[in-house]
Amino acid sequence: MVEENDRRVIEQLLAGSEPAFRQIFDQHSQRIFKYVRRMTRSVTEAEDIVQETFIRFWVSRDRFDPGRVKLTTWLHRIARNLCVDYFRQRQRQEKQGPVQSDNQDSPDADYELSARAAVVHKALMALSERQRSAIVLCHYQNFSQTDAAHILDLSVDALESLLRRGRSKLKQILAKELE
Amino acid sequence: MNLERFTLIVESYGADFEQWPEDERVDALKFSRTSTDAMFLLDQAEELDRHLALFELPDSELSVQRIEVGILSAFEQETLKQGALERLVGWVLPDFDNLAHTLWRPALVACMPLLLGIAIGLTLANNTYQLSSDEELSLLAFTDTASEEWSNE
Repeated sequence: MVEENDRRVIEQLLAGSEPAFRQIFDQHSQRIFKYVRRMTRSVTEAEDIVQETFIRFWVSRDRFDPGRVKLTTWLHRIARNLCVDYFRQRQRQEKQGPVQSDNQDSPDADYELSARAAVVHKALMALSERQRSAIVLCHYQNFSQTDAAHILDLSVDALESLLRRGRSKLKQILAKELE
Repeated sequence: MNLERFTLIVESYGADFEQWPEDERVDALKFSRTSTDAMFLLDQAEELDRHLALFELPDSELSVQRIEVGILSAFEQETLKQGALERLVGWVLPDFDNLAHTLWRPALVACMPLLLGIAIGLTLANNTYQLSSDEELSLLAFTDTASEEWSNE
């Protein structure tokens, strides 16, 4: 499951090495950030969730079994669970009353979404969390069906069904928005 | 591979064959070259793939830097908390290699409730209400008068 180069770093990490953690952060942070960024409304939300992802990963590193699951799959799974927690919390807040809008990117974000990218992002956000996550993991993050299903805690058949329904809905939304 | 399964694959994974299930990829590719229905399905799926490709994200160094700073700050706070507690416990626990010189530390900690009790007792003793001499006299007088009155009766 683990490449030889990564094996040593993971062993050091499991022994509590902070430099090993830093190396893993450097290798995986961009990819995790892109996953979370596509799942959430803004850069700020994504940054908070990715930060928490790596802190959780470090704190519960003894639960990671490199013989059973790939590191990148494990990190995406933590990130996905935090996204789900975040959406639940937000939903509860919205039920209680108006929530202060936080869907603007921070002004110093080093990229701005183009108008067409923003339309695709909006369409993705119209999907259910599971459909969105399935599409982001398979289409953008290039995970295999097995790994994506593991991250979402689903069978491969259920993942396929989610992807099909999600793509169908996206197609309808984007046909209206982009034509 | 048949049209039904090929349709499911393309509707789920799109037109990029690299995203198709690995065990069915070769068969599905062969099928796509022989069936006109399959080619039509691929064209339709490609359109959605093109739309999805509009949302490609560049690397965000600034965001990653901010995340890194946040993590470091969280670690520092946690380390400081842990450090203070560990230092205190380390100071209290006797060093078994140097027991004679460090045994007083747990003894001191064990005596803390006693010392605290003495301190509280002394503070309360100093704060007891002192009667003035007039008040004391009147109290004595009342007691004496009362006792005399009772004795006269």
